[in-house]
Amino acid sequence: MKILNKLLVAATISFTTFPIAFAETTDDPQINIGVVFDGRFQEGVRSLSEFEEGFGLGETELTIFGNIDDKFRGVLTPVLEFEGGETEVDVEEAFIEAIGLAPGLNLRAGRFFSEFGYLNPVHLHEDDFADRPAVYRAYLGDHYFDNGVAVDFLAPTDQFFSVTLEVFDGEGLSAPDTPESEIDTVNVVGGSVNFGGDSGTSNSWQVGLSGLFNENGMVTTSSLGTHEEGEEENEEAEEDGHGHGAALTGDTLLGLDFVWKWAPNGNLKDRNLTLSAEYIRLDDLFDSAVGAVEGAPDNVDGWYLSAAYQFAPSWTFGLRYGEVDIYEGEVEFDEGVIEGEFDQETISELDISLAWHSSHFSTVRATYTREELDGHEGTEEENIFVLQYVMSLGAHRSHTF
Amino acid sequence: MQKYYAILFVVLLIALSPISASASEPFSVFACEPEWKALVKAIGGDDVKVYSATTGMQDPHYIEARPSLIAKARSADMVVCTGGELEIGWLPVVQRRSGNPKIQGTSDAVFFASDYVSRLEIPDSVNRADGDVHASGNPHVHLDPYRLLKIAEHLVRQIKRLDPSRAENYEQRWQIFRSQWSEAIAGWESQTSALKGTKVMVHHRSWSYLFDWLQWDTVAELEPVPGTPPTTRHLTSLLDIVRSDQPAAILLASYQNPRGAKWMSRKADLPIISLPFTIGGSEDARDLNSLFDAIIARLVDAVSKSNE
Repeated sequence: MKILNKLLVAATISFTTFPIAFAETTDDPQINIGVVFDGRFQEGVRSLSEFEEGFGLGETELTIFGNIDDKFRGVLTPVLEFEGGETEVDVEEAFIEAIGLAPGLNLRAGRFFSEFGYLNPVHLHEDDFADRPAVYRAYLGDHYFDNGVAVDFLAPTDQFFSVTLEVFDGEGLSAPDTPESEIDTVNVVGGSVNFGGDSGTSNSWQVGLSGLFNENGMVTTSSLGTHEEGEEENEEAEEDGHGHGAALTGDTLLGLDFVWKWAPNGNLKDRNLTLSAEYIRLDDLFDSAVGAVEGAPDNVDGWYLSAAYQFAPSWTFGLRYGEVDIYEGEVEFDEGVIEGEFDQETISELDISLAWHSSHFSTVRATYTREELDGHEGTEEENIFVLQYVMSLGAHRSHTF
Repeated sequence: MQKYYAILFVVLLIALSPISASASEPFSVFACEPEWKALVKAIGGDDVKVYSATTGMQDPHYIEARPSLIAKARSADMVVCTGGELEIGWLPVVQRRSGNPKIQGTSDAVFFASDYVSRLEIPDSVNRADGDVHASGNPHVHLDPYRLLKIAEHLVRQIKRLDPSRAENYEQRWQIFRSQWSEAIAGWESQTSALKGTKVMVHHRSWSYLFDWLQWDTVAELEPVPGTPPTTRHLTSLLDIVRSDQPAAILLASYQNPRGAKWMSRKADLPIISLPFTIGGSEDARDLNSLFDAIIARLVDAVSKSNE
């Protein structure tokens, strides 16, 4: 923690040496409040998903943001969760941000989304489909947010080149049943680099590389304890709902992402196309003892490729295909002996969506998904249909690329 | 874990190391729209380096805070935009993600042109049900050449303050611009003086300041509420206005979707005038002078034809 302290000291000093002032815009009121409504009706059940069958209120969230003073802004995003007749409030974001501490340098502290990958820092309600790709549901619990500190640095070059470094508490990404005594105060360290630019006036792109290094992600004999493992992980993720434990964890999560956007003459209003793809790999899943169990994979990976085409001012068509490897099994560790076996499974998913936008602030969308779960017992197929609305009332935070 | 902290610390040290710009480098300006780029260039000449975030073929309401914009904003000494919420969907993200302390919010280096002129169409109340309405009025201020001149005057003052070592150069170019612009205004006014009182339909309220200057009237908008595409129901309801007010033409910016205008043109037998909204909106609109030349020429041509 010593170095972290130095980091904070450095940040404090820079406040005094670089007088800064900022605001969302000069026209901004003191505080901005917005609500995002997400309501849905779902047929069928997706693997590792937080969304259930029937009527549901997906991610209905409140967002409050604004400038605290001339140096800091603050963002608070409580999310309402409705499960089994109970309503709970979870906090997705609660952070302060200092902009331009030094040229190109921003600092965030509190609870916020990790900058891992392309989709992780994006709010769920900005997606073009009813649910995150399977690879995100399996390895990141839809989207990973946590308590921590992050710095973003943007290079002073014409080519967009940014670096983000973040440290998190990491409890949500710990391997299931990791004993409290083994959990450090800082468990997850993340880093990502992004390059981006334009190609002519009609195209723009971004490529990103990211990693999350998770001190407690590895499944070890001590985290196994004396009971079953594997099968239960998935169940836990489902029960967890929006609790955001990842279904699978490991020591290292690596991601490569690519986004390409096209609009005629760069004019997005009437027609535009977004292509995105990500490859994510989870490494070092087990310590040597658990790794020796029959069928234990060294690593697992997943990917998706997505296209969203707004073909008319009010209509968007989406197509996405993705796969992810997961594992299951019953493994016991008792009196120094480890028993059981793991089986690998693959989820493959094809999503098709059609959305109607009445304005920039309201969307009604239908998503059809065909999911296949390939395991040792053959293939299970599931058809999922979701009809949903996503609407935004009041202040609306601008989207990133 | 220690090694990660070490990497973090090193990157932070590099990032915090002071980078000072040398005085000989041009003053760098991030303009949101081509008209402001042109204005900055007219005043700044070779002393400035200007980048425009949008082109004349793009609707400035709908721009994404894409990587190239953030990278350009990173090294800007000044931001010159329309303001009045026109760029609210993307500029705040560009400013923030650039991490550039010079161009944050209320800084002197953030210049919003519409702050310096009187505004039209200020709503009594703002309601999302009324569409894309801006609380501070219509932001599309640059097509009134008198307002443009007033904006230029404030812009010169601000640039001189931010880049005092080259203040004299800016002042000289400003004097030249002012006299040439005033002459040009007289020319445009003599071409259009006979057309005062012309009534037109518009796709979006993009031309309010142009007509405030030319004393033309907007009788209807094709968008049912600002920012929303025309619907057949709304267009049909406008046919009554066509009969009672007899507009001379339908006006459309070259980046706007022509479907509604084409429908109305067919039903009401009205010509469509497709105008460059800003520089780059048509091939002949290359700078501020030729933009106004192009707009005036098209208006005069279409209206005198329909009067025949």
